[in-house]
Amino acid sequence: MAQSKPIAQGIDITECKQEEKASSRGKNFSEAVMNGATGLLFVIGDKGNTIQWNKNVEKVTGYSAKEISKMNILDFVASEDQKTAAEAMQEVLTKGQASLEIMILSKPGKKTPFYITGLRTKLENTTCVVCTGIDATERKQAEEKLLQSEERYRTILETMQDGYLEVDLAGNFTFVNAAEGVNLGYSKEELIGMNYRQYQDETTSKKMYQIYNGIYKTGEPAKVLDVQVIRKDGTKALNEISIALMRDSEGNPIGFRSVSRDVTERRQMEEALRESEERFRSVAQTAAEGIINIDSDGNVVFWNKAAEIIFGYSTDEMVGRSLALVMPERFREAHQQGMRRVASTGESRVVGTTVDVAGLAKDGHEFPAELSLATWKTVEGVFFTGIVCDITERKRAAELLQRYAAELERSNEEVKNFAYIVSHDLRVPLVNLKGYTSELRSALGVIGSNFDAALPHLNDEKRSEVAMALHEDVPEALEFITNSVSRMDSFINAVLILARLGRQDLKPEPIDMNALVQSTVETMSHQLQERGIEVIVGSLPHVVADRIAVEQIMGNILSNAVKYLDSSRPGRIEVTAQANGAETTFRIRDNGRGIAQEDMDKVFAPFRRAGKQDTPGEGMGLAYVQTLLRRHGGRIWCESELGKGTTFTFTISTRSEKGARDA
Amino acid sequence: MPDIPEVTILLVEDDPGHTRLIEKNLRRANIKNEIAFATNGQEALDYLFCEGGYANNKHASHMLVMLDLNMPVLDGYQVLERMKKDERTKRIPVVILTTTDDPREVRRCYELGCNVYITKPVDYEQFCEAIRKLGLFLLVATMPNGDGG
Repeated sequence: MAQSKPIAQGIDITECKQEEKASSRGKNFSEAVMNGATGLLFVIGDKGNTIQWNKNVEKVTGYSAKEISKMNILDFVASEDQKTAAEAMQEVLTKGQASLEIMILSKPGKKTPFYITGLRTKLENTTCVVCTGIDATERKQAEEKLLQSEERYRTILETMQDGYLEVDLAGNFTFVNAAEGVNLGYSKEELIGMNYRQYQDETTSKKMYQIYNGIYKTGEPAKVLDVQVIRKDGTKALNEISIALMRDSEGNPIGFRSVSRDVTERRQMEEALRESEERFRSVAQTAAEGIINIDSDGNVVFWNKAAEIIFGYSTDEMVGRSLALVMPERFREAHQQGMRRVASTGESRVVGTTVDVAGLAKDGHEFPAELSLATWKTVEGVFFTGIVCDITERKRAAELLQRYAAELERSNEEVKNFAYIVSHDLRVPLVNLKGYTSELRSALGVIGSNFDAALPHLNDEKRSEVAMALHEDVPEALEFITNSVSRMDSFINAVLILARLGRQDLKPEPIDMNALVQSTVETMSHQLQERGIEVIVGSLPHVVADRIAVEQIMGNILSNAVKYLDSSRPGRIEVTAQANGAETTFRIRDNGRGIAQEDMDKVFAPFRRAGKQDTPGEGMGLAYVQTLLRRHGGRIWCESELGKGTTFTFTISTRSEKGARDA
Repeated sequence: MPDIPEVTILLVEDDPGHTRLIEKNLRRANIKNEIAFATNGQEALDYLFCEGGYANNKHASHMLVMLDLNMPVLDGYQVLERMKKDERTKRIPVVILTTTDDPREVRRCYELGCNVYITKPVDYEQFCEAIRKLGLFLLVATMPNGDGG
C-alpha cells in the first residue's frame, strides 16, 4: 500500500463542485482504494497534520472525521511511543521512508499495536507523508507464545539431570545444556566448538563415529550404552547416550542431538553388587562350613560345596527341595513349626544364635552338627542362611580331651599319693633296720664282755681274728648300716615334706610383705651381724597368699643367699618387688659365689646341692619353694654368674584361686 | 595297780620285725601282761569278737589294743571304726602305733575314737623310749571293764 499513489487531496467530499465531476470520479476511485485497504491509511503533512485518512482510522481510533481533521498524527500515538514516533517522522522527512511498531491510542484509551510504514511524497508541490498501519496484535501474541514455548524448553533443558547437546555434522558442539557441562566437567562456554573426540579415547570415538555415521545414513535414532568419556579433570565416566539426527527445515541433515546420562555411579553400584555377590559365592564355596540358604517355605536356594561334602547331596539334588530332607525324622515337625512361627510372627528362637542340632546325611547316617542361623529380607521375601558344622570330630576330640584331663588328674593324684604312701611304707623296714642294728650292737656288747673269758680256749691266730671281727669289722659294718639308714630316713622325710606341701590346704590372706621379710631378716640377725652382711629391703607390696608358705619361700631363698655368700667380700642381699596387675614379681639378689652354668638345672631339683658343699642341708629348700610357688600359681627362676652373685626372681599371682584349685 | 595283770594286750601289726621290737621293748619296760598277736585287721577283729579262727575262744575280760594303721585285708582305720561302733568293744582302749605322722591321719584316728596315737620313730633309741613311756602309761592307766559291762 505504500506504493499506492497518487492519492487525491480533499477531505470534505460532500462539498465537491459539479465542474469537478471528472476529478471527482478520480477522487471516488482513490477513496474506494483507501477504504478498501485493510489497515490504517493516513496522508499527513510534513508537520504531522492530518490531510486524508481512510475509514479504518475512524474505526480503530474511535475519533470522528471532524475530530481527526483537527488532530496531529502524534495524537494517535501512546505516550510511551511518542518519542519513537517523532523520530520516525523526522526520518521519513529526511530519508524518505521509515517504519516502526508503536501503540495506537484510541479515543476511549485502548492501546493497539500497529506496524506503521511512512513514505514521503509530494502532492501538489507540498511535501506530505503517506502512512500505512497494520494491526500487529496477532503477530505480537504469536511471538509471545513462541517466546514462552522456547523459554519452557530452555528451562527443561537447563534444569534436567540429563545432558543435552547438539553437534554439527563434523561433531562439533553447537549447543549444550548445563547438565552436560557438569557431566563432562567443562563449562558450557568451553564445550561450544569442542569436538566429541576431545573427551573420548580413540576406541570410543571410533565407535561413536560409526554410530553417528549409521544414524546419518539411516535417519534412525540410536541408544548407546556405557560410552566412556573423559572428564576435564581426567577421570573417566560412563554415559548412556541417545542420539537422533537433526535436520533443517528442508529436511537436510545438519547435525545430531543427543541426550546423555552419567551412569558411572550406577555401574559402580552394579559392579560392587556383582563383586559382593561374587565374593559371597567364593567365600561360601571355599568355606569349610556348610552354607545353606533357604526361602521362607524351607526350600533350599543355595547349597555350597562344604554342604555337599557334609550331607552327601549335590547342589543340583538339593536346590528347590525342602531342608527337612537332611534332618532326622524326629526333628522335622519342630522345624516346620519353627518355620511357620517365623513366617507368621517374624520371631525365631534360633536366628542369631548357635545351636546343636542333628544332621542326616544322604547315606542315612546321623551326625551331631552346630548350626548358626541368620535371616535376611529381599523383595522376594524372607530367606534364611544356615552355617552348618559337622562336629562329630570336635565332639569326639572334646570327649577325648575330657578323658585325658580326668586321667591326668587321676594320675597326678596317684603320684601325690604314691609319694606319700611310699615314704610311709619305706619307714617300716627302716624301723627294723635301725632297731635290729641296735639290738645287734647290744648283743655284740654282751659277747664282747664275755669274750675275755673265752680267750684261753683259742690259739693266737684265732684269737686275733675273733678280736678283729668283734671289735672292728662288726662295729664298722653296723656303723655303715646305721648311717645309711639315717640318710635314707632323712631322704624319706624330705620327700614326705614335699608331698605334704603339694597337698596341704592353702589359706590365702593379705600379707604385708615388708613386715614378713623384715621378720625373716630378724630371725637371721645374729648371723648377719656376725658376718657383716647387709640386707636391703625395698618397698614391697601386699600380696594375697598363704602366710606360712610365703614365710617358707622367703626364708628358704634368704637363708640360701646368706649360706652361699662369698667370704672374700662383704655380703650384700637386696630384696625388691614390682606389682604388675595379675601378679607380683619379687627379686632377691645377692653378691655371693654364684652358680655355675652347668649346675643351673639342678637348682630346683630335689636332693641336689650345687657347687662347693661346706654348709649343711638336704638340698630340698628350693624344691619346696618351687612347689609352694606353683601351688600359688607363681613361677621361680634364677640368673647367676659364678663369682658375682645370684638373683632369684619369683612371681606370685595377685589372686590365689589358681593355687587353691591346683591343690 | 591291781587291774593291770588281768589286761591282755592285743598287738596288731603286719610287720613281724616291728612286732618283735615292740614286744621286746614292752618287756624291757617291765610290762608282764599277756600279749596276743594279730598280723592284720581281720585277724584282730576275729580275735576281739571270737570269730573265725578264734571261735569258741575265751579271752581275757580286759583288753588293750595296739594298732598299726597300714595293714593288709583290713587296715587300722577299719578296725578302729568297727571296734568303736560295736557295743562289745567300744570301751577297749586303742593305742595307734604307726609310722605315719601326718597330722590329718592323727586327727582322723582321734575322731574315730583312738585313745593314744604314737608315731614309731625310726631312731631306735627314740623308739625304745616311746614304747617304754607307753609301758609306763599302761602301768598307771585304769582300764575299763572290757566285757561289755
